Amino acid sequence: MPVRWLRAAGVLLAGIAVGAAMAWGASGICPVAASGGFANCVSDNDPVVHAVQANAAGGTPYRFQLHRPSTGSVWGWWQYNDTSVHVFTISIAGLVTGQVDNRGAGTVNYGVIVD
Amino acid sequence: MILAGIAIGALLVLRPWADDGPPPEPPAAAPDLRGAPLDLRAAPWALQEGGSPALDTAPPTQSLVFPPGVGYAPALRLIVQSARQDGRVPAAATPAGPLPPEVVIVRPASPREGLRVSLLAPFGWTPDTRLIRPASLRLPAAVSLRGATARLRGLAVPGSPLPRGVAVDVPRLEPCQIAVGTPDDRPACP
Repeated sequence: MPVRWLRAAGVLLAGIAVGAAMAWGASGICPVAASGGFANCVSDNDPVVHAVQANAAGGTPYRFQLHRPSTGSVWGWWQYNDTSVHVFTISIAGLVTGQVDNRGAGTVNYGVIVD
Repeated sequence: MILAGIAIGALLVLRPWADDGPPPEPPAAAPDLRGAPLDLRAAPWALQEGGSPALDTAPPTQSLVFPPGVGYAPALRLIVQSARQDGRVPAAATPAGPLPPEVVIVRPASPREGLRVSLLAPFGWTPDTRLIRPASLRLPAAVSLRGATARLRGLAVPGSPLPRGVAVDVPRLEPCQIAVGTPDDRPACP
């Protein structure tokens, strides 16, 4: 099989994967440095459910909040001391961003869903 | 197409760090909920369409007294279950008047008394910004975010009960948010 076909197939598969991920709102893994304050992670329009998880205990405690830039509105924050999945179920109009504040040590990845 | 793939990847990786949005909206005028029939779905912690309300401008809201022996975590679960469904006062609880806004719970002074929980901010409020927290749920420890899609979709369904295995997060309250015996028996907030 010509190399360009393989490349095309790879890009196609990546597109399918991206499409599948985007079907579930906005989700991402966000590296957040400690002591940097709230960092933007992922955003989506008109979300109804929001979730966060620290990928390592070194990134605890951490804070999670939702922010709507168009109005400056904030939901939260909550502070968590574990690596469980935490969920808000709030229906919000407009573009909303999930933000994480790493109050632990180092740079840690956090999984965030805003949908 | 490769360039398109790179562009998509970049969009997924890049995060806007700077955020200089406009100042927060002024709080909307809210009704006084002191004498209104209790509908937990309309309480300031539950109905947060415009953001978490400011503690100091939110309407006075009643509290609930739970039977002796019911702790803070079970009380929060009952409150969340009600707000997710019909909004009625949990059968085990008795409505009482509003607490001072800063007071989240009044712990019983004796085993014969019950826990009293604010319906203004049962999940507490943020000490720095003094915003009323919404409820937060916790999935079982074995569940990863990647594997949580179906559960999250279920949790987002309006009117659905709280599934077994999904916990209600219990906040770590500041000392001034906790009174003992009477609403005034607590340290002052900073």
